[in-house]
Amino acid sequence: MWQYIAICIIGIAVIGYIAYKIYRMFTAPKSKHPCCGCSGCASKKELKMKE
Amino acid sequence: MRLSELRTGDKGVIVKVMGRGAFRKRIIEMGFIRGKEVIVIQNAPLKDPIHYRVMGYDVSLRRSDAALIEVVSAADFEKEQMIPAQDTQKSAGPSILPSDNELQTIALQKGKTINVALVGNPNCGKTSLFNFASGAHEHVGNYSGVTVDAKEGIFQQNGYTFRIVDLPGTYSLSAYTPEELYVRKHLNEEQPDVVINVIDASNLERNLYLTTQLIDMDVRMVIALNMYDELERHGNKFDHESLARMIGAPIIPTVSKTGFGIEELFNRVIKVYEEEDPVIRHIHINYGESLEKGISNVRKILKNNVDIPRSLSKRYLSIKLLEGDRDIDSFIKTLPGAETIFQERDRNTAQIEELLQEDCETAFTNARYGFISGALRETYEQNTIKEATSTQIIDLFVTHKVLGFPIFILFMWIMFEATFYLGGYPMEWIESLVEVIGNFVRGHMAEGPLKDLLVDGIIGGVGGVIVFLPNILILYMFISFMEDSGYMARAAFIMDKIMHKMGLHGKSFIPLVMGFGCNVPAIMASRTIESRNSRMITMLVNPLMSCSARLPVYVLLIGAFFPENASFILLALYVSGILLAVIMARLFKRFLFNEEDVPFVMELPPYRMPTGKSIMIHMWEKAKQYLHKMGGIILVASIIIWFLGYFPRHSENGDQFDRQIAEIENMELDSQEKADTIEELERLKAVDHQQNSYIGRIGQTIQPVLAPLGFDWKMSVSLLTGMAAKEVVVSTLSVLYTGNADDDSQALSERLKQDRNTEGDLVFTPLIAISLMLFVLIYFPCIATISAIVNESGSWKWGIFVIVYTCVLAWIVSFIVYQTGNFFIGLFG
Repeated sequence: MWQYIAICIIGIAVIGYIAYKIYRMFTAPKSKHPCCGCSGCASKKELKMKE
Repeated sequence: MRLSELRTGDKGVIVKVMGRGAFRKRIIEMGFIRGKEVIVIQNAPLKDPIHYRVMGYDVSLRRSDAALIEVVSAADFEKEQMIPAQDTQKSAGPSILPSDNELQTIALQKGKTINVALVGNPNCGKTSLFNFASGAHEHVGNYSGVTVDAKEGIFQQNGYTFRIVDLPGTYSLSAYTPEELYVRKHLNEEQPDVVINVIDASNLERNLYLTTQLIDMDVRMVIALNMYDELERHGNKFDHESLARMIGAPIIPTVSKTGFGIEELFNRVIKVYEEEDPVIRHIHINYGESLEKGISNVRKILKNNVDIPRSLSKRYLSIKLLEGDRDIDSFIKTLPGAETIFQERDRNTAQIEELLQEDCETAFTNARYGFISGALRETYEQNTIKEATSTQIIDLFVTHKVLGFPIFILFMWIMFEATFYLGGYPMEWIESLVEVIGNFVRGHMAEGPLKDLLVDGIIGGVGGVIVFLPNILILYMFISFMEDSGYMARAAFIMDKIMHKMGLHGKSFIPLVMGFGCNVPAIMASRTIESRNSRMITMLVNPLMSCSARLPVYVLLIGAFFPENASFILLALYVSGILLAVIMARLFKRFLFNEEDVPFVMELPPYRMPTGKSIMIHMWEKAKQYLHKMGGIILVASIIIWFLGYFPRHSENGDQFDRQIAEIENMELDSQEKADTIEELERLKAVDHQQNSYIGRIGQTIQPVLAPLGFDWKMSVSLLTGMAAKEVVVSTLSVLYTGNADDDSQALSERLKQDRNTEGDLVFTPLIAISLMLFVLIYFPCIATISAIVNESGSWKWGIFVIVYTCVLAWIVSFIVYQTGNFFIGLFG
């Protein structure tokens, strides 16, 4: 039973994380977040510096 | 805070006076020096000028001039006090009145911050110098245009704080390219305290051209004579101290890749900032009688115009007006009395052109080169023994019209061979480690959904992708070597003809090859291409360059189905990407961007042996990005895919399989036969469960579209999830292809090879693997790439266009390959 509770918590956390990312994608200024929060390339660091 | 921001009655203490030349000197002579108190007596009715009291004298300054004086005020003091008050949770009252001493202390502290701008030609080592000085890890390459935006770094030396800005490389300060305008704007608007002009010691004449323009701008400058080791190695003699005295700017030899001379360079910056440098002085380049007369005439008119900020050098404005600089023309047009200025300019331009029989801009350029030539004749002695340099010898082969291509292909092949085979060893170690962790969790945890999530979802999904880290790092090592050594520029050179056939310039090849690492910075690097048409085409075809995120998919499928010809297949995939880019660029040029382009010069920098440190920095940065992705998007995607594949838990078919298994267990059969039957039923149950899971339903919905390409529903789902990031294709395959793996084989490649559908046929064949790899190569680049295209093109239209064309193209190419392959297999098989 506890394992079901644990995966429920993980599932909710993942949904929350995705919802937050989507929210950030639409609310963050375009100039600051052209990658929609993706950290897959070197531009992430540049953006951090600009912020 | 600037002096102009103080209100009537406010008091401030001077931190520093910005600006340049005579204006700055006069302001300082008036008593506006660091540490002195200034009081605002009153603003004039129209808020300009402002009446100040400094050192007991009353002076009035224009608001624009006061804006060039940095002060610390009571408000600044209050802010500084609030920070420690917040830290200690004490309430700091709003009315803290600082004593004069306190304000002076803050002013003196703030005065020890020096704003420095790095200016220089492309590929002269500015970014290396910036990295070494500031401890940053900005990307460095041995080709022009690495810096496409200004980058800022802060560090301390000898009690001073340096705020350095690495500006894009420019050959001059004309108004022809966005970089030139950007640098000029930065120097005029930000007014750095000291400019470091980085010049390449192996190419003095061309680099000093920019220096002459900085002299015209009247900026306080220190020259970094970079790559000094190369000058010495060639046996050339350069009396840089004499040249420094001649041009009134200290020259410090540096080698930015080793750090030689950088400490001394910044010590000299401090001296210049503190006005203690014995060399610094403002000189006027003598442009010859005709031009000087023109400058003098225009300058007189400009001096009479009260609307021109005093901080702008009138001589510089005059020169730029005579050169016909569009940017300065637009600025002058905004001023009252612009007509008179233009009339005087036109009159003098006509006179100069008549006298010199050449246009004014050319006359100035020639005069500058004349000045440089004269200065170098006195100070520079080239080694008379004309040895063929190593660069010339290497170029003889690598840029040869016949040998160039085979060498390029050989280099690429070595790169892929190393990526695949050298990477194979650490890959196996990581694979074993993932397996050990998986088995540990499997053996020590009670049965249940959390255990399944950990083993199949997280360890299977993330572990399936993390094993490819060594391959990616090796690929990056080669790309960094190509960039830093100067070979990338040669690759662009030999590709120039092909690029022209594509409707692009050779210069576009650099962003395209950068795309092998990551498409996003490659798209950003296309900013350096002057022509909009070429820039747009380069951006649109860049997603066809196979980025390192696609490498895990290739390594997985090639390792499973083509272990004997791995490098050849890998090379063929990359070449396919390039060929498709050629075809698409041609089509885009024909139908979308068919205007003629402006010509440009492509430079070939000398070869330099990249330092181990620089390559390690590139690899470390990439490893960090990859691991960050593992903990982010890939972990989240793996968990979601597991959830969608795990639920719903019960189905009618599942119950039926359970009943059948129970019946078999109760039957009296041979034990081996019983075990085999139960195993087969378990396999069919697992397949049925996956097919009826949420992800199975999604997969089966989209599968009809991809079925003609040979893909089953699991591959279809992995392509769908791979839109977030290409590595997710592997993690999805890793999570989904667990159903019929036997206990001994944990490697994903083995599971793929053994996977069978309900009919018992193999799901993956070599042909399907090729079709899938081509689809992954071409279809939807990741979200980050689309965002980069939208940002750089300035329109969502182009982002949507790329999504549509890449998906359609991927489908067509995979369809042709799969159906043709099937036809031939049917014919000969």
